Amino acid sequence: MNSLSLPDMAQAPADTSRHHRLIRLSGFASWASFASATLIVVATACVWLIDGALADWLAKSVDGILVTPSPMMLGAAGAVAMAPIALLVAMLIELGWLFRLFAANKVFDPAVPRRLGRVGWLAFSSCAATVVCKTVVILLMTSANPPGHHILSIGVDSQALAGLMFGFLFLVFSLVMQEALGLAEENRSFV
Amino acid sequence: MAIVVNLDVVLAQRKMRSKDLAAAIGITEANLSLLKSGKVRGVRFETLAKICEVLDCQPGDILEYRQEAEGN
Repeated sequence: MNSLSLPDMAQAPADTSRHHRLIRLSGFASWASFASATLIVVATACVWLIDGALADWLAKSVDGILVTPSPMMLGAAGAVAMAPIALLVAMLIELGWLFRLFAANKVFDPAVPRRLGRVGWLAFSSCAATVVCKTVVILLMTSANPPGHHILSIGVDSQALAGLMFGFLFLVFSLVMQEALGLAEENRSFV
Repeated sequence: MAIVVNLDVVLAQRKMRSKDLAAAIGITEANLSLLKSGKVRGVRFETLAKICEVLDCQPGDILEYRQEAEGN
């Protein structure tokens, strides 16, 4: 299936102001997505590279630490905490490429539903991983606590739920987009 | 296909080039060529009306239904 740009659609004249706004907004969103991903990677690298930063960060995110866990446990907790962040970075990069397609006026490109689907899965996975990893991090960080003070906490906050729903939304949008591509292709065979 | 496009015939009768018709009705030469060869899935009424207006003809002059032979 060929890439189809907005002006090809139904031989309808493209609404130039809306068209330009789409390109401008997508260009900015693409740039913002890549910048956010870079910022997160830099911040994460700082947490790992600056001495004591990882322990401070984990200690702040977990309540109830009575005894500082061993460096190995800290490292393990840090590694677990990185999983949702890695998924988030992957989602932002995927989102950046998706916006770049829109900015290049490839709205009805076959790559759009594919990328939308990937964004959906990554957003969903990142939020699901946040819930699971938070539980594991709390468990690891309180593992050195005296008996009776180990904490097992399972929590789903509204942000995680919203993230999960956004993941689903992107997945559904990718299916809708596939339908739209089919319609666009059919529309193109009419003169 | 059972529908035959006789646009070539009407164009020849009117002594008009495809290029001029494409320009007059506002579609690309490539699309007009596809239409002439019957390789399109459909024609919009809007396009058909413009063709009829420019060529001063009726839709029936351009489109014709032919019974397909059995086995085809």
